[in-house]
Amino acid sequence: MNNEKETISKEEAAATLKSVDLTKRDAIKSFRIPLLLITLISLSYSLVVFSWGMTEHENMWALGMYIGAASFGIFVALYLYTFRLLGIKVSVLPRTKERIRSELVLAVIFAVILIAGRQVRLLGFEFAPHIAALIAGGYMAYLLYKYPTGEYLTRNQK
Amino acid sequence: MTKATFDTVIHAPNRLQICALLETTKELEFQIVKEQLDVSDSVLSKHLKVLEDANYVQLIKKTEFTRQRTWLSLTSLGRKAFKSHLRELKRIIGKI
Repeated sequence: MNNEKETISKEEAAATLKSVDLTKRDAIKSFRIPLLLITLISLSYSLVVFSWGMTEHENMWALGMYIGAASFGIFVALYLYTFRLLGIKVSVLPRTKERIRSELVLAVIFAVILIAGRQVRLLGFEFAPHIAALIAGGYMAYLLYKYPTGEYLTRNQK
Repeated sequence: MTKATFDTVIHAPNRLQICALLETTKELEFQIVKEQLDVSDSVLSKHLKVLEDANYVQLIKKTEFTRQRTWLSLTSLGRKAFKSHLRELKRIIGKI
């Protein structure tokens, strides 16, 4: 490796960054899990958000919350297992500072949607849980489709 | 933030692609990396040996469901070196 050059031109650097971006994006595209699994994970999460928003002392929506949470856990486990069979191990816990930051932001966003769905309904807008479930499920599906391995890629080259 | 440095070990096209692939996830199987790069076993092994010697990549062989699988991952040193190399490339093109 001693004969390898240690400086490169601007054009070569730009082309290299472009190829890195392409490699990552092609890989992410090929790592996407089946749409059915994405839909099932998103729907089960929507059920949790919707049930939480509708739960009262005397109704059965708490059961929907438990069923949604259990299904969500099962489908996420299936998602991780599918990846493993394909030869991809996804990190469940964040390892880098950037990932910790983005996971915290996501946790806050999902928590706000969950709480808002219930609180707004209690204030009198009865369709708030429906809207919250739709937003949470849609956003979950988008994230699973766009970032299947959980790594949030930044673009190196415009 | 570590200083941006041009890394000749990482800069070779195939090794750069290996690092880029491994950065997208925690671990990847040898076969997946081979398919993504569209190279032969021997070519990939040769590049992995260079990265492993530099302590940038870790190879773990495991038997799962009676099948031998080799899992590849970037070490924390490898992640730092790859990011530092990308920063240096951005510096060269004047983005930072």
